[in-house]
Amino acid sequence: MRVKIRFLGGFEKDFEEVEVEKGMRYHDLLKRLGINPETVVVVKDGKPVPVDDFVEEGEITVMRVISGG
Amino acid sequence: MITCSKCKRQAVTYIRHANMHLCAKHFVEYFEKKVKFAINKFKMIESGDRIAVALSGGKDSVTLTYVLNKLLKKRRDVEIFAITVDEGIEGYRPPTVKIAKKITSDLGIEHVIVSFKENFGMTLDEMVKVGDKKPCTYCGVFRKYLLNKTAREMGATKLATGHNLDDEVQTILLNFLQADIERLARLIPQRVQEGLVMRIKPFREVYEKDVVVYGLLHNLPMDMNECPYSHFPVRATVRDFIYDFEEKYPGRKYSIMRSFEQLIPCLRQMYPQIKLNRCERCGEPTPKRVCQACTLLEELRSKSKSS
Repeated sequence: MRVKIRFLGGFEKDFEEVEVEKGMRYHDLLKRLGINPETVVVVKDGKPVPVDDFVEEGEITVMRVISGG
Repeated sequence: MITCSKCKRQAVTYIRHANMHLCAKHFVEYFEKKVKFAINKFKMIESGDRIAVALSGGKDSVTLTYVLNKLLKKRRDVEIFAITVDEGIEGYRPPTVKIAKKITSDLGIEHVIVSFKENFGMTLDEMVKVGDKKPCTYCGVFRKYLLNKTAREMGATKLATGHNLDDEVQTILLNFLQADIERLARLIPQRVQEGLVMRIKPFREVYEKDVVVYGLLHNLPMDMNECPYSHFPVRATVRDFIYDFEEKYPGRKYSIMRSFEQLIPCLRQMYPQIKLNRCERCGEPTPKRVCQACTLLEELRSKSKSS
């Protein structure tokens, strides 16, 4: 399935579309993108989602929450 | 869908270090409990307090203002108000000042905005052009000076800042790694000194990402922009290490904090409070004869005359 990702807060890119196999969790997806799950909040339909939840088709926003560097 | 560990509603977050999924309602409860725990642990708020919140308009201070207002609005013996310092950073500060104004007007909180320009005659952008020091040196010294002075003049008994657990453990480890134990001692909560309004950090027990989750659940403006002058390569290295460590071993941010807290009695003995003087120029508290703000200001003024 296709997942559209919007990046917010100091990423090198703003947007990416990826192909994700069923059964993948958000923290696996983040790691595949080279992002430490501890440093972001994943938002879907305006609400935060647990990072160990399964990825669903559609659009998500990955917010980088860390500061100071 | 993952359900909440406390009820059957949909979870919005996973608290890894406690292996707990929480729905919106139970996360809000959890977060506020952490804040209350920190407040009580260090007796940050007492009857009769008038609390100034340092409100930059960034995500941490906006959320802090919201939470403190929520926790304290029913109390008749405690007041809060907000102070915003406009350093004069083009493109970066104006939007957050706007956010700050909106949140205080929405919540009905007294709010004062003070600027570098009206107090020191120069914006931070102008200081950086004229002076040869790093932007963060000017900003740090003048911002703290203005926050303390404004808070004291407005009758504040405490000055609350939005520092969270991530900020604190980064500073703890950074000071340790740089062999700056004196600076480490400055992180001890509740050091009372004449002329200085006591600083409190009600978010010292909450993860930075949880601040964002809380803000999102309350539709608070979450400004994610970084200051254009922000440049702390050593801190960034320490920060990245802590996040890698936390990712492998959940809960280790709390371990760093607890280790520091165990050292507090010993740090207090090593670095007893020194008596502060009043600055000969401006009268503000300083360990020297002339305070750092006046020293920097004099240097900047002579440089802008000669150029």
